[in-house]
Amino acid sequence: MASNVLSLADDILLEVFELLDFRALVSCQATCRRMNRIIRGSISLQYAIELGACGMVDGPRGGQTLDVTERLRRLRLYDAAWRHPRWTKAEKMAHLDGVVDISFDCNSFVFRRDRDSGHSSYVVPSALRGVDERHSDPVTYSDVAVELSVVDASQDLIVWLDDPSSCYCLRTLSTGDPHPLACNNGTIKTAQEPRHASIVDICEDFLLEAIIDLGGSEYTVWNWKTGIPEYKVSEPLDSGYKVKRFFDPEHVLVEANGRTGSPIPVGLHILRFRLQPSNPEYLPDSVTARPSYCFAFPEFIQRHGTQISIKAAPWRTANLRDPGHFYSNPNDRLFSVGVVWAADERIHQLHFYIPSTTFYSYMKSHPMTGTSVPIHVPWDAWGRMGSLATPLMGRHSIRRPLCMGGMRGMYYSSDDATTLKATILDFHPLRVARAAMLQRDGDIDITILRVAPLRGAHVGDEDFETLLPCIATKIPPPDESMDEHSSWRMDRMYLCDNGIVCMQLEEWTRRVAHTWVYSV
Amino acid sequence: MPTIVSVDDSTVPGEGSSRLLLLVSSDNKHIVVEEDIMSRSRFISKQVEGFEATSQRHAILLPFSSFVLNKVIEYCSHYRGYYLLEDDPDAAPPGRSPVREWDQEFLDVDRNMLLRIIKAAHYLEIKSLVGSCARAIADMIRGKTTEEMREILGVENDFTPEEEHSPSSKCTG
Repeated sequence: MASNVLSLADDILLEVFELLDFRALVSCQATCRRMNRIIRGSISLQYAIELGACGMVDGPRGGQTLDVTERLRRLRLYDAAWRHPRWTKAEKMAHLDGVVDISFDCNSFVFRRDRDSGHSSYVVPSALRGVDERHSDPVTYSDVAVELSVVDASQDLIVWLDDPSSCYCLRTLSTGDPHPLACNNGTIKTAQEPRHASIVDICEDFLLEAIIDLGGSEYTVWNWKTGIPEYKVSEPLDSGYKVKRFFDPEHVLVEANGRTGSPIPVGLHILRFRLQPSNPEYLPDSVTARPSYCFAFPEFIQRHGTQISIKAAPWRTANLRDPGHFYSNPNDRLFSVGVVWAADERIHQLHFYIPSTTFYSYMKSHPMTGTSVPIHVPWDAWGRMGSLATPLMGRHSIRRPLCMGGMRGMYYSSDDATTLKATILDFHPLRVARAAMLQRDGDIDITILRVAPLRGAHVGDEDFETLLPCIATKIPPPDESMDEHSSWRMDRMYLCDNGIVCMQLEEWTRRVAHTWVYSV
Repeated sequence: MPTIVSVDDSTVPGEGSSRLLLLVSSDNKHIVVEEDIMSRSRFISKQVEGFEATSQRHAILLPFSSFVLNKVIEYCSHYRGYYLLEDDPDAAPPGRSPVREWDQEFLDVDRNMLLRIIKAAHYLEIKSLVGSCARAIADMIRGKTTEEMREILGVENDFTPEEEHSPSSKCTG
């Protein structure tokens, strides 16, 4: 009997292929003609491959959802729509009137109104992904800026600290009711003195509270579904850590700010909490958490003193709520790091964009050993860690609300009162690779920023420089924004999985938002 | 042409226990096995239904060796009396079959054997075993490069050089 896999019937091979991820499928397709024919002939395998190549993951199946053929068709349209952005008709969203500030997660905005300080949420619609426009006025509470609240759209959750009662309030985004999964009817009483937490962040079942003041830093990780503090650690005064992102249930991204005398180098650190909720004896009984990973900045930054801000996209769970049929891979995120320092009587600014794959691959190459010795990696060595990508360096800031899941970012500038110029940068390694291939075939007219040599002198240069290949797609301003009679001032643009929301605020008379939605 | 052996119903042992089937492998080995062990196989079940219609019980000829057949019987014996969702013809088509530890150990065999087992399981229409074998093959090639896959699967590259470098013949990923 022949011992070749090709002696198997097509439907057995299909059964094998159904178990492979898209990378294996692509390799398999290249082995020989028959495999190629079988894989190309299967709609569901083609869908799996294209999902992977677009950096997307499939949504829930069954029930009222679409069949694979329709999903594949929509996925292709979705991918094409991002390559050639066209503004949809201008839409004034009445419920965005009087927007003061905005918190943004996935495709959900939470914003506050002037009038009654009530908060509203809005979901950006997408015809292609089957997401309807949704709008609600879930929450009325006073004196809490939206930006100080935490939104996790994938869990339909908004959290804020209620000052008088020192309680965290956990509400649903969609209705404003106490979150059904939250403990104690949606409140967690903190054991703290009524101090404002410097950072509150959610990751899956956990709520991180970091209080940093002159007395030192104190981190508490709550399980917000049970109300039990799972982990608590205090740092002495001189630790110099500042929590920036709680980016998976076990790891927290902190910055070290290079305080004088601090033994900890300036840079990004990943602090490991070793959360083991089901196994409490695993928790260290003393303050042993130390950064296991450290991304240190060059000495010149340390010398001049630094202010580092790390902004990571917060899409963080596979608990999918929207009825869309595919999603940006929640693990594909973009961390942006801004460094500001003063030298030569000038303020210098640097931005690094670090795909989460870089972090993850680095962490993978150094298995968790529980070592208390920080590993220092000079920032310019990131690209050599066997990761998919290196940090991008450039002068344009990608603002936090714009660095959403899916590794797309956007920068924009407003040269005069009415014009808004915007460029979408797509850092997803697979989409970049595919775009490069399509561009060779002349099918696609996008700019690919290529690797440029790194020189210190580029800081402040006019051109965008990068160490990371990415797709740069320029998008024109919406037609209406060019109207000469308009007194609107172009203000903000938000990038989300469902498209781009462009807002225009009239500054002096009324605070009214005109909103264009480029929805895909 | 192998001999067709007729099994007399009188060979059935006592009331209540399973009747026996005679399976004949391609190397002409005769293997007697209890019917309800093999009821997991849709192919065998259909044969048995046929026997009942004609009230004649024949040996069932199978196109694979006794070595493979014994392996399949070992699998079926292990799961005798167990309900496996994938084998239920009335159940909704399951997505991915669950990982079963015993199966992984059972299928820890060389490639040739694995391929023979999956073919036999396919012929006998034992969906759960086909699924487990498919998983074992998928595990062998996952994370491998195209070149490594050819090696593992024993596949020759039959693309022309032009085809190999043309993005239209392959998915660009």
